[in-house]
Amino acid sequence: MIAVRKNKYMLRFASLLLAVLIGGCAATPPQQTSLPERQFPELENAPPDPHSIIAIDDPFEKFNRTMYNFNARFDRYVFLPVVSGYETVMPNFAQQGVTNFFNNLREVKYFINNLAQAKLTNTGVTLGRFVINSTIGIAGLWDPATHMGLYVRREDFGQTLGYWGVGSGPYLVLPIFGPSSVRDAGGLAFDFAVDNEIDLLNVNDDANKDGIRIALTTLKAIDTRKNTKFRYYETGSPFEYTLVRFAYLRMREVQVDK
Amino acid sequence: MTLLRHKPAETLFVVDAMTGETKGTAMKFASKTVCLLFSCVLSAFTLPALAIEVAGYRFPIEDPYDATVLGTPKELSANAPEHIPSKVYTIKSIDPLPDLFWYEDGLKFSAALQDHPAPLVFNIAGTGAAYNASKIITMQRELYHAGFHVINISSPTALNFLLTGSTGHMPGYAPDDAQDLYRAMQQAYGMVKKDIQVTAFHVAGYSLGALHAAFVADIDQREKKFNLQKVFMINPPVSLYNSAIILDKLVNDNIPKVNGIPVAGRLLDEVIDALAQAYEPDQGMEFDNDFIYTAYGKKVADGTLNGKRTSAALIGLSFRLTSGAMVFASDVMNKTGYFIPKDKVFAPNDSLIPYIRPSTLITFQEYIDKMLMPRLQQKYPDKNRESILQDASLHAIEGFLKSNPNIRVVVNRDEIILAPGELGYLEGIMGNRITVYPLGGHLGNISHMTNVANMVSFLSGVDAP
Repeated sequence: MIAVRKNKYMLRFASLLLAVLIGGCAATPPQQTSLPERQFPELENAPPDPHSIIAIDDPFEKFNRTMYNFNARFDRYVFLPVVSGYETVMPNFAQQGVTNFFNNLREVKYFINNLAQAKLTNTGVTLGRFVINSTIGIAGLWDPATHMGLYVRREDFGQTLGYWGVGSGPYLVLPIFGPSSVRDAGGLAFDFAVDNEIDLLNVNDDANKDGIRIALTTLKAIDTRKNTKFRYYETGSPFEYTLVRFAYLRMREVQVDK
Repeated sequence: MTLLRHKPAETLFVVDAMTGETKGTAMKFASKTVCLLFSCVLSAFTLPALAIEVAGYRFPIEDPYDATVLGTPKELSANAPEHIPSKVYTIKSIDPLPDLFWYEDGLKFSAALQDHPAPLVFNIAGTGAAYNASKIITMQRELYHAGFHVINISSPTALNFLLTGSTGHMPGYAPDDAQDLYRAMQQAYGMVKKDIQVTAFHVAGYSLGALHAAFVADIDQREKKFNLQKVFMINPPVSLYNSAIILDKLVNDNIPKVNGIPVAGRLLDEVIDALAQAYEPDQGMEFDNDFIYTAYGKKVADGTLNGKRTSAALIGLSFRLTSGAMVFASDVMNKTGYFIPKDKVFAPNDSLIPYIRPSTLITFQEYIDKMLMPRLQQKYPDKNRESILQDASLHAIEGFLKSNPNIRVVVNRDEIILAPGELGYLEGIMGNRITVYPLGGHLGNISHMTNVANMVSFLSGVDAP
């Protein structure tokens, strides 16, 4: 319950933040005087087809593009250099251990969301994976469950909402996290709050809980970025924002359907 | 047709954007009808006696469009280890860039260098492709493991090169583009030469990059900056203009239209739905490149996707998105006022959506005729349209190609970017220095173990005439 309430506050805060940022960003475009040589009369009375990659609900486009560029800069000047340093310093087997460790903690989220979608087999498999990897896999540093044919059953709260019929809502680019939607951003906040509440690692009782939490979050962020192949502005298209937007939302549709 | 694992053409790039493989580029081809017509035309040709036909060549995909999209199955691909010590370098941009392109800070290239004296190969990418596109990465990996220093250079038609490494920011005229490439190659070598010992220089390229490689080698014959020894050309066009017309037509013939306007979204939806059907995360599948290509092969094989039409449409779409990027960037950089108002100044966070549909309605042919040609006629007043097109094709350097024993061309019998007669022309001028594989479409077999072995042995001098 607490988690749900926290989630509500976060959403309210987020929408407030959004309103401020969008309002702040709005500017009048400069007047154009010259008409270009090539005109497209065929487009004038043809609204984009609903299947078109540009026909996507994006009322926060200005904010989203600002955030997209912020993320690209953050990636270039902070995130990727840190990841690269991490890869230099950490031996490969240790990096894999870190990846497995955080993946194992994510099983809690998968368990809850499989259960919330009444996917009982998947819920059982997720529980089995967690037990096996936490014991035989020594606190999740190894992933013997996958080798036994128990594959990961990823579900997050955004997918759970989608499963119960909640549409994605407008596209939303989040700081650091990147492409998302109003629904998925809410889901992310919910999953985060639940994770915090369950407190699997017993951080909340530790005297240095804030320090530990910051360290864990940082390591998790580095590990996640390391395992995400996406690089900003490498598509070779000036329309990358639009292409990524289409790809993200379409990808999530597939994930919700599965 | 099933376990197709290798990343093929830089097509399907929207899906790629999500999986992190970011190549939004592309190549070639024609509709069912044109294809049919085409194979008739091709089979009507009698082969010059000297061309090398490859006996016993195994390639499983008979449709050239599917082959182009799907590439070579893993079991037939060259398989040097994935990891090479390749580093990315940045050459300072020639011109300052408008704020819109804040993310480009210079011309990028990559180098994989040996710690012992070795020959150096410059690879040049195909239309719209950058130094890190999957095909040129494969070339770099295989050549590095064969003992070469390897420098990968983007195509002058790639966005990064157009913005930062091009003097005119309007690529498409091979003689000028080759000058830009030649300068970039010297700058790239300048940045790495203190770290390496080079015994000889070679140049290789695929698709448009193959044509560029020949033009660069021709320049080097006169300027001798590298004294390039060997030139390896993989599936070159004879004329970019002719090939562009063929590729432009793929969109028109294969992408569903709404109110007369091709709508790529429907095609993509169809493909994504088919892929989603095959996606079983519970079986341990990841929605990554390997999955996409395996699933695409399966869905073509089981008839869910009409292979010929879908593959042709994807190739056309990919090419159109590449040309759209070029058209947009050229218009912005040159303030041509062609379809963007001359005085339009973009802020980094401005919406570009109003320009997407227009930029993709402009064909490559229109770009050449309406944007590039006027510019060239101004720059070279003594030339007319025909002589400009001629100078941008391999015909212009025919003498160089004919006389030089150190040039090798490889092409496929079912190539789809060549206009009628052009394959015969290549066979005619290259004689026993051209290898013709029976299948592969456009570049579908570039990573095939036989093709790679051929490239390595030629550049190593094992089979030098």
